[in-house]
Parts: sequence; structure tokens; C-alpha cells
Amino acid sequence: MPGASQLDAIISLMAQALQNVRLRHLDGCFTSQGQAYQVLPRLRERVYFSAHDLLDQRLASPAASIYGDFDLVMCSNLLFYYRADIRGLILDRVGRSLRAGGYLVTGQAERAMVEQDQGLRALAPVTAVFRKADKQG
Amino acid sequence: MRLKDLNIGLQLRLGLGLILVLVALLGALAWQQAEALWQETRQLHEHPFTVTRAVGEVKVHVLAMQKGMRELFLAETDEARLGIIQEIEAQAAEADRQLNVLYARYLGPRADVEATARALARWKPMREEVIGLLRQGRHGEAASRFKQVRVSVGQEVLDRVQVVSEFARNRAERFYHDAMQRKDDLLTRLGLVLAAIILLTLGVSYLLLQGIRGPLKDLAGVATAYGQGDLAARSGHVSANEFGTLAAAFNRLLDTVQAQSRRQDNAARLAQVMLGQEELRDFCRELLQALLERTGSQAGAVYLLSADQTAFEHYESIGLGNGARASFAAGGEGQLGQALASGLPQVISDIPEDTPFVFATAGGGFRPRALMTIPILAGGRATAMICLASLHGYHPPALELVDDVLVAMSARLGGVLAFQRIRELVAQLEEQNRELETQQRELSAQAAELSEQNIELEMQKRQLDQANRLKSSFLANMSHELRTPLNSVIALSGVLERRLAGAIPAEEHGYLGVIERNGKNLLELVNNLLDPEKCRHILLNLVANAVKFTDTGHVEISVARHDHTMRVMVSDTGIGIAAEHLPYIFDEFRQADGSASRRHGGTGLGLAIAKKYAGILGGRIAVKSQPGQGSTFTLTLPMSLPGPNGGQAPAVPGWTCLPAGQMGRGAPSAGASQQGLGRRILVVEDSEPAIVQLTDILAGQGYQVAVARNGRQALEQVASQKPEAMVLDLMMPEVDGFQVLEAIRSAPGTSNLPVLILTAKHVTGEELSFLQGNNVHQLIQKGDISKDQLLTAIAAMLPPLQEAGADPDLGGNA
Repeated sequence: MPGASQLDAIISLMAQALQNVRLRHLDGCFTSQGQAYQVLPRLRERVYFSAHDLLDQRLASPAASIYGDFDLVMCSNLLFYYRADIRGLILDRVGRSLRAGGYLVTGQAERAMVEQDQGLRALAPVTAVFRKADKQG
Repeated sequence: MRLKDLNIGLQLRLGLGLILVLVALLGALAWQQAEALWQETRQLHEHPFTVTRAVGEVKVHVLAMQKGMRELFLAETDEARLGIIQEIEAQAAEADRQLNVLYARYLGPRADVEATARALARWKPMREEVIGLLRQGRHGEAASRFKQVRVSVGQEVLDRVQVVSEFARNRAERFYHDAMQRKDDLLTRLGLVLAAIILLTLGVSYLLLQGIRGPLKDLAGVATAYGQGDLAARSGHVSANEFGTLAAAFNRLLDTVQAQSRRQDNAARLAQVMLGQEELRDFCRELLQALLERTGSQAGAVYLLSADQTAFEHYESIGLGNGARASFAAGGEGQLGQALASGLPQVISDIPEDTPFVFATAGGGFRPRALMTIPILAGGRATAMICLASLHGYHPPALELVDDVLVAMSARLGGVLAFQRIRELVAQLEEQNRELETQQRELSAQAAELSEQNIELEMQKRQLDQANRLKSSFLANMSHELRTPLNSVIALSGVLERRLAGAIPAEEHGYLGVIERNGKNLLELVNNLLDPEKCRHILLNLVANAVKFTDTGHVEISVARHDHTMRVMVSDTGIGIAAEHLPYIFDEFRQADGSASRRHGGTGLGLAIAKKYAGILGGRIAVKSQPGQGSTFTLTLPMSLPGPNGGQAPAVPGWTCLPAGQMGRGAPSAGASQQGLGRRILVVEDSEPAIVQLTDILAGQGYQVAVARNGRQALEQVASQKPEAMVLDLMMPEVDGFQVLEAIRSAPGTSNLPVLILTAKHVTGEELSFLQGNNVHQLIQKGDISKDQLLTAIAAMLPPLQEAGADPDLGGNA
């Protein structure tokens, strides 16, 4: 399955962060070999990796997803690298690729940037979790 | 001396010829003597031997006849007598015969044999007489007659025959002696001849050996002497024959070898000089010196091709004046021209007056008699020139030497030049390295600065977070502090307004109203500012708890509105809380198991704070739980009066209400139209997640979906299942979408099957025309379409339902 090794690589980077996770939760998601963690197969099977250029003119959402319509988009520590106009473009794309009522999670530092977007509402003033409005009508 | 000058071949031939002649002589002699011996023997056999035998026979016959005669006397019958008489006559005939032999072979006087014959002849009548007498019966007379005969004639025969015999014996003796003599002669002669031959052979051999061995030894000696180092050793042998020729040739060979060896020696010494130096300057100087010495030159110079390859510049010289320091154009003007053009060393003999090559001596400048120019080539081009000048001219050995070492010299000079270049490059590189190191140090310093800045930023962020948290707690806590006095102000001013109505002037009474109104506004403001924080806190706590205590299943958060209250329910499928602990969970520092332990982490204050805030907000928290099945926490908050949007304005701004009955997860967008109506669509796709997605949305719309994971399966399924439409991916291994399309378009049953291409591939112009030519309903780029648009496109490609029962290939294009 493509991306399995990328998943492992991410997990190993998160090893430091995983030290703060409850052991019960770790057991539920990972198998551990000493210092290294591996995602359980039943979770791994459900993860599909693909590469996508957010600024690709032709594609509104990643080709691997066919039509977007995501329940959850996590876009963390990315938006602040871009100029404001490009940022708007990306947010627009991401917003359109969410289904109605879908969620966007960004990093705390980007919270202010997303709050300006009309289609996305923060769940609570301080969180960086946003929800797309339901379909009208 | 004459013999020595004779051709060796001739000598050999003569010598051996002589020996051959003598051998032939010997042979002839032996043959002749043998022949003579044979004659003797034959004679011996033919005559004396034969004669003696014949005589013997005669005697035997005569005696037999006499015996017969005697027997005659004893014979009784006539027959017997007749027989004996016949016998006697037979013997007589035999005797005659033997006499014939004697006649033939006897070497003595014939008379001897004749006498014997006569005697024998005389006997016959006497014999007959006796026989007659006997026949007559006159035995007595016969006997006496017989005695007479016997004595007279018989004996005579024997005597005569004996004479013959004696003669023959004598003759035999004589033959024997003769033969013996002859043998002795023969042996003597043979011995002599043999001795002569041996001596002659020895003589010839000696002479020949002298003629051959001498020169050979001489030549061998010269060769050995030369090999051991005496280079002047030569053969002294002189003669007109082959050895003379050989010796002369040998001497010439040694001369050549010596000359060659001297040349190589020179070349080797020169090579040694060249290998001895690595520095360009030293190398050129040493080389020049060696060349001058070995070629017999008196001056010389080395020119190197300039960096821009336009001229040969003077580099090093010995014994030349300043004129030689000029440069020569690389095009090959003047004296260097020919050497450059040909690439070979040249000797120039007629030196023009204005030559730059002038011997610098105390007595002034001298023009050289001859110049040698040596071009040094590398890769076919001249990279250097060496010029040598001689006052006396050059002999061939000098040019030969230069020819010998030219290749090595070119290679070595090339090597030295390269070495020079490498050194320069090394110096450059070292310089660059130093620069790089400096830059690297600067970069390290910058990196260190940046990481310092990072640390600072981290700290600032932490501070900010902390500030945020403090602000939140402050605000949350402050609300109580702020509301209490505000409530007092509002309440008491309200009371005063009612009580003092009419008791104080209207203006002052109005002030109370103002106070109450402003107090309410302020309260409103405070509520608007502070309440969201509290709400957030409560919900965070509730949700965090739910997540913390739930291993499997889900956590549901729902909001419902009942009249003027808002109910937020957080339910989970976690471990639940035992009934006896329920009353105590909102106490401070309590955990769900009733203990004060930190088994599940956390401070134990979460629920306590939540309850307090709920109270402050005018609401309450209720809990329902089943151990092992889960818990539900319900937060009830009062809402304000309905706002302008018809009952939807929440008491807590910033929240979006979910429609009743909705759970936290979004439901799939159940559009009113179920487009599928059970129609059969074949999805051809090799990517598993894409298959899942497409199957989901299509099945959700009521389509019957079949899946083919590669081109081959697709064709099989088209044939067996006969779908009504196809969603086709292009990029698949082995049999791709194009091939599938072509296959179904060329098969009669499926040439009109509606096909929608759904691909991530960047389709080229050529491919696009192929697709258009194959009646594709639509080409959709994955990622460039929304869910609804995709569903619309799929619906659009299917023919209207009334035609769905008909044969697909009769239906029109979708």
C-alpha cells in the first residue's frame, strides 16, 4: 500500500510527542517495538497517501479523492508560509473540498487567518477547529 | 694457406670423395680376390675332387665285377648265372661311364685314362671267355683262367686308375696351397688398403677440422668476449671461404650492435636525467645540459607554448645570447617553421645571418654551423620546442639519439608540465577551501543565531499561551466577581425605583431608572464577554472526560433546544460510573472510582469547575451512567429571548446549532433525488480508495455497482454482466483504459455502451482525439469535479429509463 512507509516515518517523528499519550490509547492504535511504534494494520489499511499540489490550477481537490467532499481536513503549519492572496486561494480550495458540515483543523498560529473566511466557523473562539456551514436550503 | 682458402664445401667434397674412391678400391680388390678364390675352389671341386670320386667309383665297380665273377662260380642255375652276368656287365658299363667323367675332368695326361680304358676293354673278352668256359661246365679251366685274368687285367685296371688318382690328389694339394697363398695375399692387400684408407681419413678429418673448428672457436671466443663486456672484440679470421665470409659478417654485426648499444646507452642516460627532476625549471635545465653533451652541441634553448597558444616563449637556455630570448609565433615562422610543420626533429645547416641563435662568448657572437630543432608534441600539437646549436655540425648519431628519446622526452615534458599545472591547481583549491571554510564559519554563526531566535520565539509562544490561559481563567473567574456587585446594583436600584416612586422628584427618580438600565446593559456586556469562556471550559471538561474514559465506541456531542433552555449532551460508550459514586464526582479532587488517586490522570477538578460554571451561567449539569456501557452528561443553560432570526439565536454566540436529531457526525448528503433507480454501472478502477469512494456515492444514489480492478476483468464483466454504463479509469497496469475502450467499441454488442472517463492522467491531444473518436460521453479529471457534478454527469450518460429495457446497443448515445 503506498504511503505505509511514510506513515511509519511520521510516527517515528512523533515518537517524542507520543510520550505524552496515555498507554491505553497507544495500545489501541500502535504496536511498539522498543522505542519504535508501528500503526496497527487495521488502521493502516484505511490510510491512503497521495501527493497533491495545492496550487494546481486544474484541480480543486486532490485527484486521489476524485471529488473532495472530505469530512475532515487537517492543514496545520502550512498557511503561514504563503502570501495573503495565495493563502486565500488555498483556504478557498480547502473549504470547497470539505463537505457541508465538514471540519478543518489548523494550527493555533493560523487560527486568525481562517477566522476571516466566511464559510468556516470556529467551534469555539480559542480553538483552531472550524466547521463548514451546512448546505443552504 | 691455399688449402685454408679453399671453399669448405669443396674441401669436404674432396676429402670425402677421396675416401670414397679408396673404399671403392678396397671393395674392388676384395671382390676380385673373392672371385679368384671362388675360381680356385671351383677348380678344386670340378677337377681333383670329381676325379677322385670317379676313380673311387671305378675301383668299386671293378671290385664288384671281380666279385661277380667269383660268384659266377658258385652259381648253380643258368638263370642265376645270367643274372650275375647281367650284373657284371652293368658294373662294367658303370665303370665306363666313370671313365667318361675322367676323360672330361682329368687334368693330367689323357694317356692315363686311356690306359685304364684299354685295360678295362681287354678284360671284357677274357671275362667272356671265362663265362663261356663256365657255361660249358669247365669249371676247372674257368677258374684257372679267371685267376689269370684277375691278376693280369683286373689288377692293371686298378693300377692304372690309381695313377689317375694319384695325379688328382697331387693336383688337389697344389690347388690347396695356391688358395692358401691367394688368401694370404688378399688379406695383406686388404690390410694395406684399409690402413691407407684409415690414414687418409684421419688426415682429411684433421685438415677439415682445422679448417672448420679453428674459425668457429675464434668466432665463439669473440662472441663470448663481447658478451662479457669487451666491446672491441672482433674475429681475426681472414680467408676466402665461407668462414671468412662469416667472420667478416660477424665483425660487421658486432660493430652494429656496439653502435646500437651506445645509442641506447645515451638514450638511457638521457632518460635518467629526465626522470630525475620534477620541477619544470630544473627539468629543462638538466635536459638541455644532457642534450648538449650527448649531441655534441654547444648551446641550446627550450621554448614553451604560451597559455593562449599563440607563441612559443623562451623558458630556459644555455650558452645563447639575448637574441634567443625572443618568442616565436606558433604559426611556424622562420627557422622553427619546418620542424613545427613536420613534427619531426630537423637539422638546419645553412643558417641565415640574422639568426637569433648566436653563441655568446667572450670573443663575441658566433653563428653556429648547424641548428637542430626538436618539436615536442602532445596530442598531435606542438607544446614545446628545443633548439640546439653546434659549431661543428651534426653527425647522424646525434640525430639518431634525438629520434630515440623523442617520445620519452615528449611524454616526460608533458608530465612535468602537467605536474606544474597540478601544483597551480592545488594552490588554487587550497585558496578556495580557505574561503569556503570562512563562509562555513559565518553560516554556522548565523545558524547559531537563528536557533537562539527560535528558542526565544518558543519562549514567547509559551508565554503567550500561558497569558491566554491566564486570561481565560481570569475572565472565567472574574465573571462571578463582576456579576455579584452588578446584580446588587441592578436589584437595589430596581427596588429603590419602585419604593421611591413619587417620593422623590421625577428627575432624580429617572436617575434610578438610568442606573438600573445601565447596570443591566453592563451585565449583558459581561455576560456576552465572559459566558463563552465558561461554556468553553465546561464543554472542554466534559468532552475531555468522555474521551479519556472511552476506549472503544464513540463520543457524541449534541445540542437541543427546549423552550428557553439549551441542552448540550455529551455521551460516551466508556467505562461508566458506578451508582454509588455518582453523587461525589462533582466534588473537588474526586475521580470516577471515588478515590482520590490519580489513576486516570488529571487534577480531579474538572467536573467541580464545570459544575460551578454551570451554576454561574444559571444552568446545571446532570449525569446518567451505566458501568461498562457509558455515561451521558447533560448541560442545561438558559437561553435569552428569541432573537431576530426566528428562534435560532443562541444564548452563547459563536455556536452553530445542529438540526434536531443530528449526531456529531455529518450524515451523507441525502439529496431528495435518488438517481440510481437500480441501474447497473460498471466501475473500472485499480485504486482501492477510489473504488470505495465511487461505490459509496453510487450505491448511495441507488445504483447497482460492479467493480473491475483491471482492463481484463473489465472486458470479462462487460461480456458477462452487460452493464448499462461504465466509469472507466485510464491508468491501469497491463490492459489500460484506452485498450478497454477500443475493445468494447469494436465489439458489436458494446459499441454503444455509455462510457465516462474518470482519470488523474494529464490527457494529451492525441489521446483526447482517440477518446473523442471512440464516443466517450465525458472526460472528467479526478480532483477537478465536485460530488454533485460527478453524480450529475453519471446520471446524464444513462439513457432515460423507458429505453433501459431495450438492448443497450440500440439505445442512443447518453
